[in-house]
Amino acid sequence: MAHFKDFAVRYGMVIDLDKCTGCGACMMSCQAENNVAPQEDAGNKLRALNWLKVYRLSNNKEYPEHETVFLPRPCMQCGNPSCVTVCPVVATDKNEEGGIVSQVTPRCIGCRYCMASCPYHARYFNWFDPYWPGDLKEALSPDVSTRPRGVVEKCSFCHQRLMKAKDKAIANGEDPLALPEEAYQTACTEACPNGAIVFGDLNNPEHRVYELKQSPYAFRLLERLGTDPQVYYMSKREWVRRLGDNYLGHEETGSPERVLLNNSH
Amino acid sequence: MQRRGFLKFALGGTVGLAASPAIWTTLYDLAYWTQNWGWIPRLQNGEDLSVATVSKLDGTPLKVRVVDGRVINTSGNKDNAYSAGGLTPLAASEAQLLYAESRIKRPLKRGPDGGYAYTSWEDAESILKKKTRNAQGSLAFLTSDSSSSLNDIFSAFTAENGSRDFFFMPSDEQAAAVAWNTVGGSGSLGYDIANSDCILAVGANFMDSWGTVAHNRAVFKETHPTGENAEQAIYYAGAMQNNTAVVADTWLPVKPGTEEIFLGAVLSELIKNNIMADSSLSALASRYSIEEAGKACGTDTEQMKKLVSALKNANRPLVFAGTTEGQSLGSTVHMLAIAINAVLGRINQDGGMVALPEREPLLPSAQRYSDIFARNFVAYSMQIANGMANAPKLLFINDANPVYALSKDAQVKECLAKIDYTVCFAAHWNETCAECDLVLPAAHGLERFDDVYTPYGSGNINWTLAKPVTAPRYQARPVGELILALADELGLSLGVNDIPSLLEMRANALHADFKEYLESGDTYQEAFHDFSVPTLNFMPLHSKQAKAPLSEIALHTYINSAAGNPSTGIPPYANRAITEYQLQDGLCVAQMNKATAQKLGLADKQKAVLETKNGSMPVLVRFYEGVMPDVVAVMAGLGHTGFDRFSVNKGNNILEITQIDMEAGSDLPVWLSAVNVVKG
Amino acid sequence: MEDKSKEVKPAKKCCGCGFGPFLVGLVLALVIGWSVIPAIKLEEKKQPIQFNHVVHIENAGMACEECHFIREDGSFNGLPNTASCAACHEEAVSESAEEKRFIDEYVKKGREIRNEWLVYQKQPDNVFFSHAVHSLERCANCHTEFETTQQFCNICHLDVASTTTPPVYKENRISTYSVNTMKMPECEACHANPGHYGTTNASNACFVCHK
Repeated sequence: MAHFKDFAVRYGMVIDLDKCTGCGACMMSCQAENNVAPQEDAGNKLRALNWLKVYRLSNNKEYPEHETVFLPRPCMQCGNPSCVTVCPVVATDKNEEGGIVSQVTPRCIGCRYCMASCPYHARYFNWFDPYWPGDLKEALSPDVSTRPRGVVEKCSFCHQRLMKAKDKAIANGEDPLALPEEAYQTACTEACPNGAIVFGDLNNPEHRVYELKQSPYAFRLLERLGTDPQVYYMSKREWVRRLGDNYLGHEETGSPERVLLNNSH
Repeated sequence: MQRRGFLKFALGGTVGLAASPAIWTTLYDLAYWTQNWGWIPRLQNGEDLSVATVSKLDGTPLKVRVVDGRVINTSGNKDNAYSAGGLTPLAASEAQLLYAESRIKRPLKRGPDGGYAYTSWEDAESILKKKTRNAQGSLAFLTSDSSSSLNDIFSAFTAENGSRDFFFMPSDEQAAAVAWNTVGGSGSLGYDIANSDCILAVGANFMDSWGTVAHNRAVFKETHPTGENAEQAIYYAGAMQNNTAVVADTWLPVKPGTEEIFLGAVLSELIKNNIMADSSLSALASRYSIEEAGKACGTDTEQMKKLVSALKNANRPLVFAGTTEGQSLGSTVHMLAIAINAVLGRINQDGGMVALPEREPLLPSAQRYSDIFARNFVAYSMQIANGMANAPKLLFINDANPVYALSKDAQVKECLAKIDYTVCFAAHWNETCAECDLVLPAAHGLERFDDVYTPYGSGNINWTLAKPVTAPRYQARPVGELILALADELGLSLGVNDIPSLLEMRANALHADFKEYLESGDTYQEAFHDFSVPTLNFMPLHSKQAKAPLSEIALHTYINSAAGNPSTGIPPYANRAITEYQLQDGLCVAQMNKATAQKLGLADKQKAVLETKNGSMPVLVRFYEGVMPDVVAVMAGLGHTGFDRFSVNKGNNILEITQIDMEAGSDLPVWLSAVNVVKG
Repeated sequence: MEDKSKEVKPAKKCCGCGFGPFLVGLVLALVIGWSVIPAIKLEEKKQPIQFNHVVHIENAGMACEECHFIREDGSFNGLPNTASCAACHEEAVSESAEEKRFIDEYVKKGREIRNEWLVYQKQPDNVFFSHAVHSLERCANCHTEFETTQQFCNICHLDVASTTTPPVYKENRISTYSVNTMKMPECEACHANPGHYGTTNASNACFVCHK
């Protein structure tokens, strides 16, 4: 079993599903921040590129008992990332303080094994060369490299912002490994007008996510696979929490009957 | 040399090459070459600045990142208390829209063959001067953004040329203004969402497309702290579980067209229990019962009773109505909402419906908004198209797209055809441009001075300045400056020399420091302070009979604000925000629940044809239990034939085939369509 | 009629002239591989302005940090922009023809010199380098052989400070990188150095350098 380092700093999110309206501001700001290629036809969702994707889910009941929830899904930055264990060229790794799973696209050979292994569909393949028509390429952010076709890319928790925050801390004589919460926030967190996304260091008691992740309403997606995701979700509604994993009818939500896989080392 | 010698030579050569770095470094270089294909754009670094301004698309305060003079992206302004740093999906697209291929680059003139040819600004300016001179007293102006102070320039220009025909595109704001005026209210209607503890929104999708969205959502962020108890209850009444419904405490299904009955029943119930009913209201006590409304609207009566009880028990309840496609429901729904707030004693109270002072015109000949709202463009267009009124000689259209946004019933194309000369100011090539004689490139919101002054949906006087983040691209020009220059050429004095001076006049009127607000991008806010209870007269409601509910399936048209508005088309990055429940395989998706589908004999994911009295369009059926029975939901904003590759070949324009009827008495357009969906 | 009396000597096996051809091939290939090919692969370019560092440091008495400094937000201003040069060079301050050309073509026309300067240490788009963290203060605790910041900078950069004209910029025609561009193994000389584990924060994690 792969054993990953324990990091002193672990960046993660807590996303309140009772506050997400499904507007997509997070998706739009992610794309602009990370130079994700624009798509003329995003109707074919198998070919679409979404580092962060908002899903529409429901309680699967008929009207009028039907309820809808929207769920934004970034890369989970798993504590036990299955994508890292399968990459044949180590284009992806989890070895940096902060716990962000890196994706180095010049090294990626495009075998898409990582896409097959990721249970969250968080990885996307560049089927086509990115094309910014007309003058759109002037709006490219200088902080994130553009990717050619044939490589896999994924959400990086706006890692370029972490680098800049660390630089600023060093320039001002502060500790780059103990950044305050406001110093480093992802684009999606900043954009969300409802404040549904909260981002910070899961290990730092001064960050909001530290306490929020311990809420009884918090859950993670597919926890029982043992991926140890760093993205938590919250909802006061039990049916939403139940959507987080493939519960059998009799199993209690978040029940101790979990089958622990990779966590047993 | 013999063969063996040659082979030895070749062997020596190979060993030598292998022993030199040539092969290995060349392989390295080839690897680097494959990472640097010429068609993959390179990144450009440079001076990194963050400039504060406000979005002219939806009023969201912004910080714009500019690197080396290039606009990179927008983010919310964290230092702005009005929006608390939030960024709406439409404002997130603003930087890309600046560079979109749909930008009009140079003035375009329509030739006799109907084709457009580039012309120069000199030519365009001389045409404008000539046509305006010849159109004295017969000139009209249509614009869409009522929040801008520049409207004073436009309406003053229209007035100085002898015409009162200045219009805003049809909107909730107009219907609400007419309603408020009809019941005797003065000033303009405001909604203090920030201080309310219990909100009932009927139709108005205030988390995504109604009112001051960034501010509404900032209020939500504060009143609904993550992990704690909410301080504000939200009830949403509408046909579909939309952005507001999913975060509301309760969703009450209300069939399109029955909002009046719904509100009427709530009103009746409240009057019965007699809180602040005066004589003009008590006559409405038995207008509708909850049971009747339950049947007509398709709402659960228990839910309605709980709603009434919640409104009664709340400290600061607020009720308002609006449309989901942002056009108009007529004034009666608004009068009913005002009546409910009156009965609850929430007019001019904290967290209630407030009468904001009417905005004072900054220029002597500028028109008052109450006058402008008394005129409606749909009626005007229909009258001209039908020959019942004389067509003006000259029409200016600024940042509006009536050919796309208004249905066939409004007869916009026919109206434009009857007008001698039409001029369209637009930043992006839209469907209306293709019907006008002269198309002039307008400066984008990030390229001009402008402001957002107490936009519709505000609960107080507020004002945010827009400043240019970059010089206008291509040959675009700010329309305000253009009209001022034209007025100057015609020898008209509007009362101001340039746009910054006009905005400074607004600052002075508010006693706000112009330079400070320009620099910081902060929003000036003036707390509401007139708590006097106005005397309102609800007699006009007595004679109004609510529309009979549609016996057929009703069409629910809704906006996904990420997909742009009629003036922007679908922004370049927005296609990923359009879901498979809105557009699939190039077809608009018609969402309906199983019961409706069974009635129509349709299966999930089946291709079908949607028909209204105005036409038909192909759709894809998708089951969605979040739509109430007897309703079909279709997203507006597709079917563009203008703009660029990100907008075209995507479905059809539902707005074109929606049905508009004129409301009796007010003559306001009301969007309500009966629809049928048959197997395709 | 065959002459059976003549002896048919067996043909001498051709040894291909011994080691000769092999050596010739070897030497030729070595020469081509070590000198000719590397030279052909490189394209030489001149900087747009023949900037004289020595005259600015010695004659004008300028410090390095006046043009090359770390900004407040932590980013590094490596190339000064035309505006900062124009602070002194709005008008000619010397007899130099090059200075006059700079003023005419760049200062007067508002043309940005930093967009045209050929960066010797240019890194590709996917590399992130932080000047803030690579400082004498942080490394000199152990590496006492570096006394001045200039010595420290010269670990990676060409010593342009001692030049009167900029060194010739050589670009690899195939990869389009400068010949002085540090490749990853050179960065790893410090980042992957076992002696640095535990004593520094010089992590060799991918995302430390890649973006």
